[in-house]
Amino acid sequence: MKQHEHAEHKGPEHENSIEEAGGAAVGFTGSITGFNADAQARMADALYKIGKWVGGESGVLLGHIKCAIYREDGSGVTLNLIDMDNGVEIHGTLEPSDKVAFTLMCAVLDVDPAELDHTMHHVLEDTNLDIELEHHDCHCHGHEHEHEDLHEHGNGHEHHHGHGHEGHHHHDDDDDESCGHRGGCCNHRNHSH
Amino acid sequence: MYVYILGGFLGSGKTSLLMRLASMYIERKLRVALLVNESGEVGVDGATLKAEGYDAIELPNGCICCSLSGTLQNALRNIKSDIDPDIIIIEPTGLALPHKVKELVRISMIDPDGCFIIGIVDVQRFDDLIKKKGEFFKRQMHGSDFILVNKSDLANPQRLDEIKSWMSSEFPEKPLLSISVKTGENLDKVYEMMK
Repeated sequence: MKQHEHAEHKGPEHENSIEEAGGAAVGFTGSITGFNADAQARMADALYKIGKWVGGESGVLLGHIKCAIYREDGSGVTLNLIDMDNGVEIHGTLEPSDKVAFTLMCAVLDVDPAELDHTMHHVLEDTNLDIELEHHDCHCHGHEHEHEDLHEHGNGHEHHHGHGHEGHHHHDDDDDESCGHRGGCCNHRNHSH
Repeated sequence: MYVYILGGFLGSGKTSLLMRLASMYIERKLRVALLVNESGEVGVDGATLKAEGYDAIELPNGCICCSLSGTLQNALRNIKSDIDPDIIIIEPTGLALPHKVKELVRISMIDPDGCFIIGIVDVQRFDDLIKKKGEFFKRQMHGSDFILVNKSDLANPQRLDEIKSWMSSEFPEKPLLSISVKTGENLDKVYEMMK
């Protein structure tokens, strides 16, 4: 089990409540082009995969993973994963739309925040949806960058997710499963696609 | 003006309860202000509430019981001066300590007629939470004015009794009520308790 990094350097009297609980919270904001029932199902599946990863890391999913997908007028649908046995709960309905915004948030216990961030990124990528993430403080690499590089996946589908700059971990010598980032930043020893 | 703080762990049903309570107050022609806090950089609950037809003030990217304590006090003062509602319902993050939030309400100089913490317990993940974070859970609950054992629809009566018995032994002075926000069970009693 991994301990929350921030708690290591402070006594309990100086911890905030998130640190005291050993919590990690990571969130993304972005948009999906071409939203429909299939896209919703893929997003729900993404939440489930994140939950599965959290459960694998900490022993049990304690916390919640939620995603609001909405139009400009505020109408939308919420996907919520609290319990793996219950699966992803869906509240509301959203008609197929050319473009929708979304927020994805994961607040859970006993996982490394950077690894959680990294996992969420790649699970989103694996949806093969046309997703654009807004400016995001990428914990897994320890600095800020824009997600604006274009990637092409095996099915010919393109989406934005950028690592096109220096400072990433390069594993050119590794032949492990690679997600195919052009920058070669990510090494997925334990990540299946 | 009364202030209610919904305290409970992540996923215990705070946002769902918030919506139900807000609806009850609005039906009774009371002015309600909703203040929602999330620990992540981005807020999901605000979007959810808006999609469901509620306007809420969001305080993301931290915890109002500690890192956003000043932000909370400013927000409360603004709500008081701009809206002057009958009820303020505050939903801290599921990792917050509600008694700290109550103290911040007290020193924020909005002078409410009363400020109460409603503790919410998740039946379904009770055992896991006690096993992994028992002390933190107790700290979350200890300032509660009353405690709601939520998701009663997901547990059989015997299991519910076991949990209520555990809670009663830990917090013997606190009123305890099993509810289901999903089915509406006992929500009318919650409303009565809040009055």
